[in-house]
Amino acid sequence: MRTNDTPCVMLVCVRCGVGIERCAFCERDACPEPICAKSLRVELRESMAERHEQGG
Amino acid sequence: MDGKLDWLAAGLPTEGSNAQLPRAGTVARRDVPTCRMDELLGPVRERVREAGWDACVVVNDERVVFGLLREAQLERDGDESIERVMRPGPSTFRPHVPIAEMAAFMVTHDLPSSPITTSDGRLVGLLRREDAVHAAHELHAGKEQTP
Repeated sequence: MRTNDTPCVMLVCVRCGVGIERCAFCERDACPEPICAKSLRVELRESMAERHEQGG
Repeated sequence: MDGKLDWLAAGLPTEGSNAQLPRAGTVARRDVPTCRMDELLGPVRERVREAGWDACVVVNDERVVFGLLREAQLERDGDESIERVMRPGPSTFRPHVPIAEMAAFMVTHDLPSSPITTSDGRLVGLLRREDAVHAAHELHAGKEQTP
């Protein structure tokens, strides 16, 4: 039984396709490039994964 | 300290060739105004405006971030409490995130500012989009000039 006539708008993460209620970066529910929290952390962490010159 | 990422996430000093690259924690403004949840918006807004800011971070006594006041929240009724008007639990980012990455995300998502915190939630500073973009451009220009 529906308790609310307002349709539930679900965003889809542009990285992994998972359904999210709002963008993890800008917190908007009308974000044109929504990203989930998990993908966002991966994106930001991967970006620092440059190989250290000494291999560390 | 559990490991390398925790060390970086705490904004602690690093060595090596990558240590000199600008990151969210080094570009974030540490003089961002702060307030507590039990204050009234009116006096806080006055303090923020006098300091020349359009944003304020809501913290507790340990500087753990609880919320954020941007322009829209600062414009509300001055008799309301900060707790009532703030944006609770804003997305925060760690100091080690490369500035180019943050700048790109902030532009794409049209986000004016982002709180930078340690992994335990303590405020490092507020990263403003124009500062992030400027730092990213300078970094890019510097790389192009390097032989």
